[in-house]
Amino acid sequence: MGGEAPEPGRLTRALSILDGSGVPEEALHLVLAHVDDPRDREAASLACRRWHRIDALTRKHVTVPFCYAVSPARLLARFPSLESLAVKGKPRAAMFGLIPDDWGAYAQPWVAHLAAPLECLKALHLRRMVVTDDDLDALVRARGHMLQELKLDKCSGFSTDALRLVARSCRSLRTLFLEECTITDNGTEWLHDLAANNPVLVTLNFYLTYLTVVPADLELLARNCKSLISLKISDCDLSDLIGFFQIATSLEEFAGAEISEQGELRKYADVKLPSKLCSFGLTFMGTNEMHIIFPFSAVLKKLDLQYTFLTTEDHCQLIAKCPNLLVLAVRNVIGDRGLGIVADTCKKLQRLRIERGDDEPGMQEEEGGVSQVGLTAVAVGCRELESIAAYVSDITNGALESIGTFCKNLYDFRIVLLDKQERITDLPLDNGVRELLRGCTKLRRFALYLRPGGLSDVGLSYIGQHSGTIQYMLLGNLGETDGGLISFAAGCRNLRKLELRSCCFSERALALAMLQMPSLRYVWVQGYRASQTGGDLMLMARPFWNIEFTPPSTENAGRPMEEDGQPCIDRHAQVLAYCSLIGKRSDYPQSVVPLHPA
Amino acid sequence: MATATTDSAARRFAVACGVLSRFVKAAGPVPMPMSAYGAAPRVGALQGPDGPPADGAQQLTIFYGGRVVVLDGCTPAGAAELIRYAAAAASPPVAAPATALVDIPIARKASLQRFLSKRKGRSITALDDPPYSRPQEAAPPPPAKKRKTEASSWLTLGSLGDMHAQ
Repeated sequence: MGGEAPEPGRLTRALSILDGSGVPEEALHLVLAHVDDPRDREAASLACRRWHRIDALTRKHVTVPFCYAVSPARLLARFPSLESLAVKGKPRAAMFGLIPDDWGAYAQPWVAHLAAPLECLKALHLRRMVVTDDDLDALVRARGHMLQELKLDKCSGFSTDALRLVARSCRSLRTLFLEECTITDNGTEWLHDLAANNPVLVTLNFYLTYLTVVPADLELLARNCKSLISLKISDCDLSDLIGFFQIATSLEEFAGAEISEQGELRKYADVKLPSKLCSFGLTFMGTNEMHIIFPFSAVLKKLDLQYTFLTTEDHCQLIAKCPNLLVLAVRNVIGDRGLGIVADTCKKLQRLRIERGDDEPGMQEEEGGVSQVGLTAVAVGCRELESIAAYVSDITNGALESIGTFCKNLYDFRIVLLDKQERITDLPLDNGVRELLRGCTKLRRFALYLRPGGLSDVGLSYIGQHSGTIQYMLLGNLGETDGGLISFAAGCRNLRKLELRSCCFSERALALAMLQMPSLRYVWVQGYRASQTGGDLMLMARPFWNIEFTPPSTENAGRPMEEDGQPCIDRHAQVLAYCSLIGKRSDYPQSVVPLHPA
Repeated sequence: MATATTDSAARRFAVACGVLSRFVKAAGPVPMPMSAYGAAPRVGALQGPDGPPADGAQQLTIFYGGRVVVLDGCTPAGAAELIRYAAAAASPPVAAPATALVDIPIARKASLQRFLSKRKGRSITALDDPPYSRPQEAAPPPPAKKRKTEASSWLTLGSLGDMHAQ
């Protein structure tokens, strides 16, 4: 820019470009077509009506974070050129058996509108929703010819019959993702049909679906789908896959095989894994089977040991051979010693998950349990970490400070303090949490689940004060009084989604706190000082804000988790409040009381 | 912070009271009921008009927080009791009961729960004979609140799907 003020004529032209009226329509289309970030799109659509219209015509992807926030018809009418749609349903607590089966989140209203007007839709991703065979039938009829990507993520309600239909009708399918879906198993033909009809398949995932698998169908898949690079299956013994691995030479990612007989070395001696494999998980793998990984451990980028029988020492030996790991998932049997090896070896590590193992005496794994020692080591050693999720047995302020100091790329941090150890080294964690939040400026997702005394009201106010750009939080057992919650809420400018559990706050404080958070559009609470009717929650009643209350169950529904892992419904009161443009939903179950709109 | 200065001021007060109480105890006890903490400025009933009273009651002056309180005819026992109140206030407060904190144990993710149940059912030969013997850990202290019998409760750390980058 020169030092002189522009002449009046040129200034007018500059202004007219700013308001868009001087710019040809096609140019705006072209420019906006390159704007992908949803937040940028959101901002652009609010600039003026013209930009709103052009954004609507050019938007390629929409994620609906909660299916009851908007009307499917209205949304899909607004974005006629949509290529990809993602919709999320049930609260996350459904993964832990705390949401009844009839809660809602039905895919039907969405699928019903995916037909004619949407010429371009080729990818659909539904998470934690109920999808029936009829829904998949409707989807296939509407979009089958164009569908490239179908992801049903922790969904339920359909059977392998629908999968057969998908397999036969969607010849362009590149990604079929069904991980952790509850699927009625009416036969294995679906996999055979998929193998026979979908030559361009790149990713197939039916991990943790417990469907029966025929190894011959997998071999057919490997023969026909030359582009297949990622496969995750339901349980199948590793020794039955020898033929498959010989054919699937391009495979880079694999999980779902299991070692059904420990110590049977001859059985697995002939297994030769594909040379490009860099992402792997082997269920029930024990000390004697670990060597299967050694030939390609140096190139491994993703390793899942959550479902293995490895000891702490095994973890140490194995991980020492994996210097190129980007993603590691383990149970806390890895111990502080194993985390020390991770810190020394896995310098490129981006994502680390440490799940909770078995606590029962007798099942307890030697040296199991992770503490501030291991966490600090990992913070110092793995500076590229973007995501940490850990169940810890002990923790200190210092460990959290270390994470804040060294893990500058962290955008997702979640920590749970297990309840087995009576005395925790260094509580409350007020200062450590503050330093972590101040240090990790890129944090977008944050979970902190402690115990009474773990974080004071002051600490809770620190979280609010230093919440920065965090959009999602899960807080458990934090704070001491209602005052803590209010001061927390006063600080959260960008928080969109909040989950609270096992807290000491009153209904009144909850309602008042929610009103204080300007970006909040979804809150879920379980375990608070609930009333029988949820009356005080009405303090946060306002337009476009739905409040659903599940009263505390009076009957003794507190039976323990079933032995086969089937969860049961918790009896504590729940609150779910969310922004919605469509008013009260019509499909709520008996257990839910809609408070507002009534 | 206000709380910090109050705490240190209270501690100093307690120390002073300790010194004072040593002097008071030397004079011997005569019981005298105290109606409330921060007793009324005039207690007079047992005080004689002139000279030291027969039961040892004397004037007690308290300087605190910029204020002065004078108690006439404070018996040694009364003084001792006042000092006890002050000392008790200076000690760390009893941990406030977690006001109706709802006791919900941490829940398990369904997928992991299933794996752990399966593992229990199998013959775990790998764990029975590990390269390193399991250390004899002290049995974990039984949970003070019987959480294990409660319905499995919840904590989410995201799903396996998170592990696989989008």
